[in-house]
Order: sequence, then structure tokens, then C-alpha cells
Amino acid sequence: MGQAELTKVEEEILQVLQEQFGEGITGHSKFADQLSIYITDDILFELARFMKEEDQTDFDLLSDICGVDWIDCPEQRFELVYNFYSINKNVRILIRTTVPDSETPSIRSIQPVYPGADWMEREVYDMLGIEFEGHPDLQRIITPEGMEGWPHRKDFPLTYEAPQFSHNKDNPPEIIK
Amino acid sequence: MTTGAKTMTLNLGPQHPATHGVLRVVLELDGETVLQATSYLGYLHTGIEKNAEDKLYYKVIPMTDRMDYLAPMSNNLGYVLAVEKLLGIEVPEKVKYARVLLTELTRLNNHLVWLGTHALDVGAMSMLLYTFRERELILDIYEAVSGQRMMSSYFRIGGLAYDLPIDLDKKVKNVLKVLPEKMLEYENLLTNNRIWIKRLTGVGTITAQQALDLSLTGPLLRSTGVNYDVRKAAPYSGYEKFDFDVPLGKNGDCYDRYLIRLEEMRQSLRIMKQALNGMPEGPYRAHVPGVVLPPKQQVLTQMEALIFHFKIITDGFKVPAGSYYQAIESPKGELGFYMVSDGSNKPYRMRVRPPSFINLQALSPMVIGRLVSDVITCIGSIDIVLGEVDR
Repeated sequence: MGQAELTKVEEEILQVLQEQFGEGITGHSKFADQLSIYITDDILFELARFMKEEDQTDFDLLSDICGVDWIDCPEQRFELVYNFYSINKNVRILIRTTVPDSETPSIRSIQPVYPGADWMEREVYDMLGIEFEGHPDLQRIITPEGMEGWPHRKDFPLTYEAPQFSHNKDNPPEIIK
Repeated sequence: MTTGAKTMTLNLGPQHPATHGVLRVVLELDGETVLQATSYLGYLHTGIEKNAEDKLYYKVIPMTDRMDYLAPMSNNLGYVLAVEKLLGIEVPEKVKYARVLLTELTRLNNHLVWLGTHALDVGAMSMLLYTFRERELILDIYEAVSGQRMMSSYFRIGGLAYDLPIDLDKKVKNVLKVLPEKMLEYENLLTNNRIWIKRLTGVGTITAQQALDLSLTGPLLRSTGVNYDVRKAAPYSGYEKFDFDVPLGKNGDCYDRYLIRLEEMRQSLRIMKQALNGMPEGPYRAHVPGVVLPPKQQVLTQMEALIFHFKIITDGFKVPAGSYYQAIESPKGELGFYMVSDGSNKPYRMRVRPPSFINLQALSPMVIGRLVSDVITCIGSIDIVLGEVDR
């Protein structure tokens, strides 16, 4: 990953965040024109509130939340990428954090700060099984209720199950890999 | 919200033409007033993000069409730009212009279908027939460039699938000539129509703060007066060279969104005209051996080109480890592709930021306290495609 120079606005924001959160900011990197800031999971909620409400940061739009399953490093298996955008400053920053505890992953919800995170967090929960504490209505959103397993985890097999019809009810079809 | 009176639960969809696909909304009603609206999604879930993890990079392109099937080229563009960024490929000028021309054509296509179906929902039946008639001209161009009328899959990583056809000029000029006239007709039918105004003005109103809180983008956000268009904010594919305006609304209601989308269509025509006039000569693919397919002529005559061709088709190509989020302005809002690569020839993770999915969150705040008929207007006005909502 190539390291590019930070722009002035990005440097200011990074500095403000470092002053405010100190140890919570564990590093940053820049690929092409995109700045990523790495944080510890415990400051996520406060950071989101700070990013939205302070004039120095002024990130009014939460673009996206993406969960990534790094199955090869079991200690830090689930990474969450929060995509913040500031319309006034015209700056996009990816905030990256690792969810502690890969067995029952859980992290604080930022829905109270950014109401738009509602469905995004539900989708991450649905697909990766990461719980968001403080989310008002954490249910599966895309897959049906009662579904077992978390589809976007890397250990969830990419298979096809032939549909059951009345003519093959007694002889259920095999899972085709 | 309770009124003490008996309430009724109404199940709207999933098999209801006015929900534009398989959206299911459960409405809690007091008489005809909506107390609560809960959306249930997932009837069209196809696991595109998961499927992409098992495919070579270039094999993902046809799947991106299937998400927003009314704006296939926009989806192609978002995906190829993200991968090109990871690979560090710079495409030739001609490719940039062709991509701009075709994505703006896609915006027209999307807005035409939106206008037709939205008007149909509200009761102006004839609009659908008119807009679909004009859409035919656009689909003809799709067919001419890619061979497919809807699922075009025309963009490739590092260029285009084929060179632009020679009669593209004539076909695009026809659209540029016909559409402004037809749009006047649409406006004559709708803009000052008393029923149209009554059904749309003050319906589905959202404030700028609400829109930002809910992460809305596209015409939905701009109808509240917030000026955010990815084409202006972070130009991609050479949009900085084109001269166009971003229409903004004031009231954030359905009528504003109607006016904005009509104006966007005019701006698209303006961009297309510039793209067509300024279309440079040159190759339609970047020269990146091992990643972009070599020209067919060379494949047939030169050994190295044949080997590269064979290797790319069978093994794909490796993409350097890293991640990148590419946003583009699709007709529905900010469409983002977040690609994570682990250095292999398949994406480690592909995340799509679907504008329809996130914009659909606005449905509940829009309709609470209003009548059932407004729900239909609002669903139409948000402009969703269920293929993209569920992916």
C-alpha cells in the first residue's frame, strides 16, 4: 500500500482527533487519495459523536459501514470500516477498528449519533453476526428470520441448495458445492 | 403513537406493482392515516457481495449490472474504477469520455423509467407509455455498443469491451434532438397539472438535517437544498472537464424531487453533447500487459499477446493488497464500491454502498402521519430498485 502525502485539511483533522483521543488513535495510512485512521474499539462512540458535532471535524454524512472478516488472524478477526464524509470540507475519511472477541463479536452502536447507521448496522449484523450494543432494533434485515449462520463470514460455505418441492420431499436434494 | 381507537395492519407488497419490485411494507393504520411503516427487505437477495469473493476480478462485472438493472452502466463504472484504482491503471482519454457519455445516458434511462412509473403510481397512466417510447432510443444505443439492451456489462477493467460503433454519433445525436422536445411534452402534461401538484407538493417532506442524519444522497438530499453531488465533490472519470449544473430544491418534497430529476435529465443531455463533441481519437483500452486484454489483431498474429490473452482469461490477474472506496454519482445517489484485496486474483471483500437501500430508510419518517395514498407517492419518489436494495 503506497503512502501518499496528507492534505492540509486531513492533517488538521488527524491532529484534532489525536489531541482529543490520544491513545485511542493507533495510526493512520493513506492509499491514493484516501485517508484511513485506525482506532481502538472503545472510543468509537465518542469519536463518532465528536466527528459529527464539533465544527473542527464536521462530518455530517455517514456514508457506509462495512465489515470485513479476516479469518486468518483469529485474534482480530472482524474489522469494521466506517466511512465518514464532510460536505463542507469535502473530505472523506475511513475510520477502521477491530471488534474485540472474535467468538461473540460486539461493539457499541453509533445509531444514536447517526440515525442513518440503523440499517447499515443491521446489515452488518445480518451478514457477519457482529452485535451492536445500544441499537434499538437489531434484527436480521436481508436474510429471513430464523436463518442460521452468518453469510459473509469466510467460513460460511458458498454453496447452492436445490429447492425442495413436493416431488422430492422424501428425498431431499444434496447440497451442491 | 396511539390514538386509543382500533388500528388496522395493512400489508403492502411484496407482490404489489406500486412497490416497484418486491418491497414489503407493513403499515399500521388508523383509518387512512399511517401510524407506523416498517419495511421488510430481502425478497430479491442474491448474495452478490459474497459471490464476488469467489470470482476473478473481471468476472464480477456482469454481476454488477444485476444490482441496479435500470442503471447498469453506472454500476459497471463504479466497480471498474475501484479496481483500476487498486491496480493503479490510468485509462486513455477516449475511454473516459465514452464512459461519461454512456453513464449520463444511463441517468436518462433511469430517470425516464422513474418518471413513467412514478406518474403511473400517482394516476397519470399515459406517461409510462411516453417515457418507455423514448427509453427505446437509449436501449438501442446500449445494444449498439454492447450487444445487450439491458445488462450491458460494457466497461472493462482498463477500458471498454469493444470499440465504440461508428454510427454511435448518429444515434446519440438523435437522442439529443428528440429528448428535449419530448421533455417539453412531459412537462406540459405534468408540471402545471393540478392533480399532479396536489398529489406531490408537501408530500414526503424531509428537512436537510433529517436527510443528512439518515445518510441520504442523490436527488433526495439535493431536494432539501444540500449541495452534494459526487461528480462535483470528487470528480471521477474526467467529470472535472465537463460543464454542468447541479439542480437544488428547497422544500424537500416529492414535487421538488420531480423538478430536480427533470433538470438532471437536461444537464445529462448537456454533458452528453460535450462528451460527444470532445470525444478524442485513440485506443479504447489501456496498455497494461497481463491485466488488460491485448487487441484481437495482435492475439491472432503475435505469440506474446496470445499468451497474455490466455493467461488473463484463465487465471485473471493479481491485484496488489489494499483497499479503496470508490464513490460515484449513480442516478439514485452515491453508489460506492469498497474493494478489499489480499493480493490474489479474486476480491477478498466487495462491499457495495447501495443508494436505494440507504435512501429507503427515509420512507418511514416521510409517511408517518400521512395517508396511505402518500405512501405510494413516497416509494416512487425515493426511486428504489429492489435488486440493489437486497443485492
